[in-house]
Amino acid sequence: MRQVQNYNIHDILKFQICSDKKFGFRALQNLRFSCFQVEQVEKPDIVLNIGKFTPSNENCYLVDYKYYVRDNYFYCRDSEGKVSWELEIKGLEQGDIIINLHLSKRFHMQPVDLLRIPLFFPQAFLLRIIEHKLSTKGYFLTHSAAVSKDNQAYLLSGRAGSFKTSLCMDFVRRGGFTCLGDDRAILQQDRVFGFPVNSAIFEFMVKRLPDETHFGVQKQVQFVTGYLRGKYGKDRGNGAQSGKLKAMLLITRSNRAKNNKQVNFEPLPQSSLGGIVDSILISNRLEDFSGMGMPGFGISSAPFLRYMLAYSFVFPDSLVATWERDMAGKLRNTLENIPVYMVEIPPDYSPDTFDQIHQFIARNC
Amino acid sequence: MKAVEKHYSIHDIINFKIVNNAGFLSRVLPFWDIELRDFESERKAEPDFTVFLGKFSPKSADCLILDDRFHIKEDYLYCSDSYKWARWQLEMSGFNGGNLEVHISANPFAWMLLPDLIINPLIWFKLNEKGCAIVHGSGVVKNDSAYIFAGRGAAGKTTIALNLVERGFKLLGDHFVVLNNDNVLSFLSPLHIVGFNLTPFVQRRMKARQKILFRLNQLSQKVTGLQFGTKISPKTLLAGLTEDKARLHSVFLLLPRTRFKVEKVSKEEIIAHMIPNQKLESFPFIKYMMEYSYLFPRSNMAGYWTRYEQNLSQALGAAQAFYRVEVPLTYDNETLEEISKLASMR
Repeated sequence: MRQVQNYNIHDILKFQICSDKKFGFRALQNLRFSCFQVEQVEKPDIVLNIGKFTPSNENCYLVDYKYYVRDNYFYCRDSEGKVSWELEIKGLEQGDIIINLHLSKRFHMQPVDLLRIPLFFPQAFLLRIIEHKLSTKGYFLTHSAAVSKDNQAYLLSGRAGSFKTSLCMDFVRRGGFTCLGDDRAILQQDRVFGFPVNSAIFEFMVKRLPDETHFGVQKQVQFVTGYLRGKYGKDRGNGAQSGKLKAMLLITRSNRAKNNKQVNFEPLPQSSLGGIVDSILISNRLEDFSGMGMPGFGISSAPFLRYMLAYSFVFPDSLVATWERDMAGKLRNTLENIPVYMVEIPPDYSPDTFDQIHQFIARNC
Repeated sequence: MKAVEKHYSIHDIINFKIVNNAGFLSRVLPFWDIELRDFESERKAEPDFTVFLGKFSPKSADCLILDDRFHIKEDYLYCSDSYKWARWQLEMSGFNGGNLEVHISANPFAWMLLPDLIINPLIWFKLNEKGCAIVHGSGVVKNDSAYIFAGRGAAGKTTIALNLVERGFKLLGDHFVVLNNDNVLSFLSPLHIVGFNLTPFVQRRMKARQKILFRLNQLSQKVTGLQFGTKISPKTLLAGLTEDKARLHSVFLLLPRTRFKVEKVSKEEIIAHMIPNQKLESFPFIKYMMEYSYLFPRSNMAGYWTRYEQNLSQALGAAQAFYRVEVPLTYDNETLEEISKLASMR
């Protein structure tokens, strides 16, 4: 039975997830993008079809024995860690994007993987395609958390492990802010649009946990049972919000002895703007290495980055190969009038870290 | 066990030293360094970088921590990493232009891949600093004119090189070549002989032991479905048929598709193809470069790809022609004849 779920991101981009099999946990399948779910969308920009398909990969360039590339088209079979997949993307450069994805079982999958992989893996590819499609429309899906208050938005950018989520939780609970997204946000000029990924999980964490490190197996089970009973993720309002960018913080965890408890702030001068823009773009590409589904899937070789490089190798003038350069120019213009700070936080999270950052924002921004 | 020290040299442009402290692994896997053996040098030149193999204790205090496992400070990076079954720890310091030292501790799976994973990219990194550019492609010479065939896997780089050697050319490298000013320098890493690039010419020159090894690899390929190349040193297999350097004549970019088709292109266009080609070859090392560049976006490390483009642009300035060549998925005599004709044009 075919099952279709529709999503609309701020009317900027619409997409559809179709699967040919009915999953046992239908409610979990849309966990990642639940706050963008709508009843119906007209003309989706992206359609993700999950299930068996017949590829139309004739007349393609063959790269590295396995990537099939043609104008506007990509196909490959690949596997790594616990996952094995077949992927076809049509419309990479123009027209609507159609993704066909088929997952097959591998011998060392555990029962829990049979549940987790179909739920989370396709969404990881989708997220990357959403980033690509948004960029063609002039929007940048940044790997940053975003919080806002009184229509003023602050971006907290940082690699995994820089406690973006924990900080957002405290911004919501103790600072009275709205969380526009604890992992991603959409940036267009100085406008920040919310992009809450897994917003129901975030809601659960805000209500039940002191910080993100406490989200262990027991709490995960607690969340799933609560979610299936409709306790979390009902409020879809926060996805629709936006704010005007006031400041950007680049957060890094540090084990330097001198700032054991102290948070260090260093304003970055305009002269280093080019470097800041590079860092922001590199952070997105590093996500291709670590953000593929979930930890435990065993995927660390950035499959999507390799696919896009294979496409760029054949078509070096294509959008896929050049969008980053164009985006760098746009980001430069945006950040020209926005203060950017390098923030070093202690290795372990404590509410004290939040207090110092909160005070800093109140004082300086 | 006592550490084993070996010196390596690439045209005396890059000298490096490997200090092997992992006695057990190097006894169990004696062929791990086969990729590097032909670069071994008797002369103990001042090394551009030193690799220490074996367990080490990282000096990762006072660092910034990225992705929970990259410890980075100015001129320093430490991480543990894995790919499929391979696991390794890596510590690098001195890559900002000082004394580059690298410590690696690896499990047996990673041990086998060390040259590909880390040591080759380090060579490229140093070449890049010295104004040279590594190119993922094969190269041959005739009358002091070098012809480069760049491309990704499945493009037939080795097939073309071996066939041209049979037609009177000399080999510069079947996997990589180095561009240095107007010259192409050889990079004679072992040939990977697999079923489809084994020509009768090569077969005749193979020793009995290599033939047996090749058959065994073919057999395990049939059983497991994974491709096992038989690694054979070109210096012995093609004795007298290799060359150290020659002047660059033309560059061919190979794109496997349906049938043979040639098109002259500009230098800029060739470079635009060559950069993603080299990036794809640099996994997973490219990740370490990116992690460091995230924190130090204006460092020597972060400038790698810009420099690569500049070095390519300068070196390719001397070439007479650039071709974009579409080739069929499996090579036939006709295609090889056409390519041979192109490479013989003056």
